[in-house]
Amino acid sequence: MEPSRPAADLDLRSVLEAHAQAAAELLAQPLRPVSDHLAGYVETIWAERPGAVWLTGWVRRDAGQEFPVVLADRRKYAGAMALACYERADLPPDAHAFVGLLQTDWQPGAETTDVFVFLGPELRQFIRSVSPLRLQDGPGFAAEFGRVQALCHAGRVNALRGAMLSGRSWLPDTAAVSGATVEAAVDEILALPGFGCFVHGWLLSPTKRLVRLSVKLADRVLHSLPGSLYFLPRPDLGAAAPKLPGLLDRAGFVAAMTGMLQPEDLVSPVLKAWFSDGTSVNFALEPQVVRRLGHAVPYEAALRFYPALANETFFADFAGAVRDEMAGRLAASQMLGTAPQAERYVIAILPPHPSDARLMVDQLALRLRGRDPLPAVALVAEQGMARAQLPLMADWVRTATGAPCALFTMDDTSKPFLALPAILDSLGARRFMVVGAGAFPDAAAWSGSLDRLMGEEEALSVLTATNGAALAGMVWTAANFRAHLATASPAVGATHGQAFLGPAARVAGRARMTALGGRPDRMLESVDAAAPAQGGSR
Amino acid sequence: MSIELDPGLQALLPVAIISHAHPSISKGGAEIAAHTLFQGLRALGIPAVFIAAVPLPLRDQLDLGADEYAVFHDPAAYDHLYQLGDAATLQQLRGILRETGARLLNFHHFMSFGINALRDLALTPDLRTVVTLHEFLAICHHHGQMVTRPHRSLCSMATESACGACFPELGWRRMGLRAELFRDSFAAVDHFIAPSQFLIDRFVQWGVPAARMGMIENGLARFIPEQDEGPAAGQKSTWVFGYFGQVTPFKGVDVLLTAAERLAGMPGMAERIEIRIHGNLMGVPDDFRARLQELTASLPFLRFTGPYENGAVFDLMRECDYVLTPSVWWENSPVVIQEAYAAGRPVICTGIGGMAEKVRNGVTGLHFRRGDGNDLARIIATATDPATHAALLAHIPQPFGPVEMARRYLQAFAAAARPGSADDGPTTTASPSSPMLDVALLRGQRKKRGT
Repeated sequence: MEPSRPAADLDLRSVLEAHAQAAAELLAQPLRPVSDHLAGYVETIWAERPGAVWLTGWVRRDAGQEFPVVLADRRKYAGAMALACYERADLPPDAHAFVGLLQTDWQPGAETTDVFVFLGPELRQFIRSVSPLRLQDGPGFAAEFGRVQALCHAGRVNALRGAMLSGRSWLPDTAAVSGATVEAAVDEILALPGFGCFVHGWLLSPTKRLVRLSVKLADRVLHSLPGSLYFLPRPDLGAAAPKLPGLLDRAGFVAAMTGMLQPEDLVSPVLKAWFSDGTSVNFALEPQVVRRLGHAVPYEAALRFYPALANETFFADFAGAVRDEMAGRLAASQMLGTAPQAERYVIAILPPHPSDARLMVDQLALRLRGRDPLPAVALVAEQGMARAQLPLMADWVRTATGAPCALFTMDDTSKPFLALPAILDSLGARRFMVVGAGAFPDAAAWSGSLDRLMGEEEALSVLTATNGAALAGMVWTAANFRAHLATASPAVGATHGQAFLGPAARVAGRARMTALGGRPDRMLESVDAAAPAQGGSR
Repeated sequence: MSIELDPGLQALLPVAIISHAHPSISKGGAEIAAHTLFQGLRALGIPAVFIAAVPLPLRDQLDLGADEYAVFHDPAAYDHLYQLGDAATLQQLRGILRETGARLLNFHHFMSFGINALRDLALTPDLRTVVTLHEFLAICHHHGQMVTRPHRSLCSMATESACGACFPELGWRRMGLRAELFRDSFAAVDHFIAPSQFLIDRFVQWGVPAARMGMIENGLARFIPEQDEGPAAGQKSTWVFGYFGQVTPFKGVDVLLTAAERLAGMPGMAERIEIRIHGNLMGVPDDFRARLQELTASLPFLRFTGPYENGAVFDLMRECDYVLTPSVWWENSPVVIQEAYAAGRPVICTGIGGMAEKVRNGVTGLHFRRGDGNDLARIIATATDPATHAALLAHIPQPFGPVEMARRYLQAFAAAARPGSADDGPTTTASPSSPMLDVALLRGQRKKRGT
């Protein structure tokens, strides 16, 4: 719900609505652009949003300032227009300049070269666009409006200003238009598609109290959640605002906003600050303030703004978005070249550190050498340094063991299990042994695992780390593994594979680990803890 | 020259001396020692081949002699943390072994080939492997020097946590993994040789069974001159102290410079001594270079003479009364000490590690405290006593050359050639994450294949 709007804006809207209805009845009338009835020109156009087009230009004084209109741009459109007029030295005495708002379904398109606006109700007089058509951007139009508004002597300048400042308007940088001495900046917008965003910035308003914030990203508008807005001291603004010491204690703000944000929406940010009197002011933001959580900054960066995020009312939505995004990312893999089809595969998830990856391949080759029959090998790496080494390592495996070798990349090798089903499908594997990234099984663990891989046991067997408490790998059938994932999705945090440990049989021996699990992430652990019960550990 | 060989060894000939570098490319101690042994074996009429790893970019500089082979490797494909070579390097090495029929392999260092190449060959049923250790690379990732990072303190024992503290960017887990890889790989080796007892003790402490280790000093490659008697003490007006080798802080030349500053302040000392620094100044820090230039300009008794030809080393040493070895790391068996003895000169050295072992304090030379320029100045002043010098000269040992080195190696090779030579029980030190299981399995794997 938006705060109450200024009365002038509401009045203008009702006037325009009435004119638009009248214009709809005029659509059937023929339009004749007789040159004697040319009443002026449209010099610039800014299409603010569907239904709202702003114009500047000049018009004969006798044309009036409010009318139903019919536009002609290859076809006819009904609309309504309100003008505010001012004197301009370059115009003849019977004309004055205007800024105006056009309520219409018409929007200038790429094909638009000329547009005629017939002024109702007679539709005899008309104004037309200059050639070539001059399209204006929001900030440019606002600056022009701010410059001329004090000059206007006729028409609804206050109402137009109200419309420009209304909650429906996303004209950037309306502080100059409003006349209010409001300054604001945003330090950071941490956006999470599927959830919304967190906004962190400051605002100095000497006369009005900030009650709410909204952000527009591309065409998406997000509003601060009730109760999520809080204020912070910003003593660093003291030098910039020496006469406003009373505002500095709560000049900083943080807010959480939700909305159906898509990844492609994270552009053209505009902040709207709502005040207790119902007015609002927009601020154009630098695109660099928008950072995508989980991409440019880790998810746990949100904890900087809401240290008790897991206890906030919006956490369930946040956690769901994180989980969905992580699951999609973790499930993605890419095959390099073609994969030899084989029933039994050793899938070695290579660690990101190039030396560790080399050692993994060395150990794999050592343990496979001389085994008969040989399983096939798949090497999986992240798209970092280890990826660059993949072809060399595959050659090593083939040379040292004679085993066929397939290659894959995935996003995060510390969490491989969501990507495994697709990998297993492309390999045609019926049974598999997977060795986790950074896990280095000892000879007994290799031997035991390979024996099980080449056997027919249906049950899950796991390799554990030296401390016995961390998953280092597993041997299973592809069918049982897929069935398990259908009922219990692995965690997206550091405990990604821990649920497999459960009651599974242990392979003899142990694995050394260069790291225990993925990088610890408090946020992902909270997200996992908030996951709906789904069977959990086996 | 002929020699009677153990029948078991005879069956394994020719011997392959496998070096991580070729002396025509670089002149490090390990490759010089390996080539000296090769020359000694040939002088004794023992069938032998010399196989050196050569970086591909340096291929044009290679100058191979008779029965010498090169394995060309790509340095960029080598992993320096775990010391892993690539598959192509091992393939080339196996090809040369097949071609030459060599079945007794003596590795001098495993670098460039990789610990994996050494291990894989050691596991090959019809081959025997002897590894000559030249430093601590298997134990210490810090250039095999057992000197801590970044403070360069001496390290007396490698542990996962201590190594992890030296390499926090790698972490203790990787250090443990590295140690286990090397212990496992060494478990397949038949015998180890080291040029100093100090080196042996360190490896035994680390986990290699003492029964599989033997000490053989490096022979000197070049002609060993007759010792001169030196000038009579009564005739001496100036005592000359010579440093020979790379001019780097690791070799303790900065300690020597500090000692020179102290000696300048000792009454009458500047007129009685001359310190000559012979060596290559490449790759030293700018501040070190500036200090050296400043002191050689201001102290008349301190001279930097620059690089020298190896063939001239004995003559240069004989122009000195003492040879200085002020290294701040352990060293193992520095060839410069053997060269000093060959030139008939006592050695003043840091009293640690291989230096302390090779130079008996007060008998064949004098020790000073590691990194202590004041103590080195004190010892140099003491060394100018004619009686002290005469006593030390009387006990200078006689080093040996390629042939004697080869004779001693042949005894070790014969021991390694005997069946079951590597089955000498568990390692002497069981770490908390003991590699025993892997060792046992590796040996089992080897036996299963027919040895």
